[in-house]
Amino acid sequence: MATNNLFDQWTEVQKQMMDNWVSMSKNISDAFQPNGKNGTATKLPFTDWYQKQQELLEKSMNPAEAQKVFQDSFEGYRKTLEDQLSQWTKMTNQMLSQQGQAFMPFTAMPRIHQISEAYQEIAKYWDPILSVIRDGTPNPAQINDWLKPEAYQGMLTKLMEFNMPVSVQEIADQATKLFSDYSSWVSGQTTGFTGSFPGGMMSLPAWDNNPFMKLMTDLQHRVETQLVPITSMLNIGKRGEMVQLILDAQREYITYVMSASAIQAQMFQAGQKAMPEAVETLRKQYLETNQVPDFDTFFNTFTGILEHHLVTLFETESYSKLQNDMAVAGVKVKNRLERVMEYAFEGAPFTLRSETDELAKELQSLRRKVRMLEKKVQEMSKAVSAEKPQPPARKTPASRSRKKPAAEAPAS
Amino acid sequence: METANIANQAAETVTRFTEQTAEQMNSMRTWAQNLSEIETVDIATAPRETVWQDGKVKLYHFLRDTKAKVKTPVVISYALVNRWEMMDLQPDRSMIRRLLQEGLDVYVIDWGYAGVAERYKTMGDYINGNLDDCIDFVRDRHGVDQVNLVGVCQGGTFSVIYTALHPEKVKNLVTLVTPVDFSHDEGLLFRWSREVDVDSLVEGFNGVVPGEFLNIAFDLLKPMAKVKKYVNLPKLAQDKAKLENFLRMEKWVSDGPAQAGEAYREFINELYKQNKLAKGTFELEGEKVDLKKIDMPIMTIYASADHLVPPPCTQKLNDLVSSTDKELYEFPGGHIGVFVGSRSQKVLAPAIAEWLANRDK
Repeated sequence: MATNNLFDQWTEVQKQMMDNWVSMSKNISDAFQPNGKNGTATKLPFTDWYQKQQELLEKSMNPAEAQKVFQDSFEGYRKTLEDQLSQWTKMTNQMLSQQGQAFMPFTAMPRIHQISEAYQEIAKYWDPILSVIRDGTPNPAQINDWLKPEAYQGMLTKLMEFNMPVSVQEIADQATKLFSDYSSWVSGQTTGFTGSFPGGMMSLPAWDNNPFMKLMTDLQHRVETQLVPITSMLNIGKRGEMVQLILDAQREYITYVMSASAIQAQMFQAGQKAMPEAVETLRKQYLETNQVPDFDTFFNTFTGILEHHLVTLFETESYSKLQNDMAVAGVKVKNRLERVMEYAFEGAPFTLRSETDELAKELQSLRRKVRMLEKKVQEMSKAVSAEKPQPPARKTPASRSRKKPAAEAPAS
Repeated sequence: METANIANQAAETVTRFTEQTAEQMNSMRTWAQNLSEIETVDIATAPRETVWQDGKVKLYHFLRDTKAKVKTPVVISYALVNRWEMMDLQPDRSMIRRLLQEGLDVYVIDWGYAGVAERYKTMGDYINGNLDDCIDFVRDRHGVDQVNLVGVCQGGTFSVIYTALHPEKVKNLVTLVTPVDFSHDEGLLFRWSREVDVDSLVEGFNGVVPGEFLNIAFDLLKPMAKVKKYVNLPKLAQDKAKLENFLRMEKWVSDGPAQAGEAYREFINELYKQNKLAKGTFELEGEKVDLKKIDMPIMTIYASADHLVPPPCTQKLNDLVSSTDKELYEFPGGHIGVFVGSRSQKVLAPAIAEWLANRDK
């Protein structure tokens, strides 16, 4: 292809691209507006890039500078692609927020956002990945150098919908608040602990096990050494039980965080193999077919391989146990803290959960007794009917149904 | 690198970027337009009436324009996890509508949404209570001694237990993707359940296990399925009809009812962990459940690619019953495909109807 023709073509392509972008963004903005009202088109980062490209092209009339011009323009392209992806995420989220909320289940919304971000996160690395597939590399693990561990963790976190940092903070806040409120009553010695706990928790990276473990060990130690002797001196009663529940909750919380952290670490470890394997798989296919894969093919290959590794992990007994530990500890923390709340609101002018539980137990027991009695009545009725002379023809069997008949017999 | 090569690469890159951008913009516009034109997402629209109710449990009768060709009415017992609406997701993906078209008279049990009031409800309360009441009601209403019982997934396990305890009330038994033998390792749910401390979970959740908790486990069975689903959404959303189908399925998926703690505890401990039903040691309210007492015609349907209830967990049923008229039917597809796949409409529902019609003497 001649260089001059290329310039012409490139200019034309960019112009088309610009027109498309502006036109479509206006249309999309219109579509977002309720009742078809027109809105102002979003200002897109492509505008700036296009202007810069024009300036570059003007300079590029000198063929000697062509190589530099192209190199510069690639940088512009990469920057624009990144900006575009960011803009794209915003637009997708905006559309889903405005139009999708009416229909999409509430639980699906954050997932879509997370997955959309993960998809675009991977797209950022598509060009170097494509180069490896097409041009080859002695070591496909080189991908891991481009896709830094932090970025890879971030991407997997989004793909797997982990929400550890939020949960940790939430649970830490709740546990610490209750712990602080009630244990202050027990002893004034806990200020240091309660003050440092939330800060220490929030400052920790979610994936980093070591400081986490250290904190947890420290926490356990403090709980045991500072509080257990105090609680053991308390008389058995409401306050003593409350303190005990809080201590139990703290211990369960430690188990929960450690299990959750270990699970995520295992998943990350299993998932690390997926990216280089996906590149290698597509590289082999490319060598066989000479067909360059598109990004979606890559994405599907990558997620397919990732899924295989994760399921292999899920099939292990150790994962099953860890998953159970995490789930049980999580619900126990919740349950203990709710029971503390029950104590706190004892005597309040509303019905507590434990009281409704008692009612539910009684209700179910009564329903069961009624069912048994109905059955006995039914059997007795049958026995009585059997003793009586039978009518010559029977249109329907003896009445057997219980509860509430709500309609007449159907046509059939 | 040669200037021409660089230029070629630049052109290729920019062209690809341009094409993709234009495509994405067009796609976004169509998606937004399609979404804004959808007013409601309806599921379970086949005409029906509530003919019986006890607490939160309801029995629906689906209305027919013509007289049923098969005189024995069909009672469908769906699972407690997830909602029966999967059987009537939309008009052209509705096993219920298809069964009606094939001449059956169809009833479906809606187990309702378990809450605090149901936390002590047991499998016995569901099976010997609700299911038995519904079947008695239908028998009375139609003046017949027996019904055709169709059990789906966990509702199929309930149906098998019911039939073993009350064989005189069941003319034909059809089970769809129903776990009976829980000893296999093929399904992750089966592996995980062996390790799960269900007693602590039920207590921790105050006796009502949330649907969201179960959904997490279901999602993890195919951890990337949801990712792929949402990534493909913009493409799929180009077609309004497909977008509506997607939204219907999402509505159903997200509507997982909570589980009554005691029944859940029994199901996991006695069946998943100890495999008592297949071993012949399971007791319901003190009465032994002997599968050999199932001697009526039985049609056991399993899905070849079922990741929730793998085929071996279902197939075993035919070896455990004493029926001489028994059919093992393989559906080529997954668990959900049994109800909403095109093959379900074209082949499976007519096959069930024909099988029942041939045994309606």
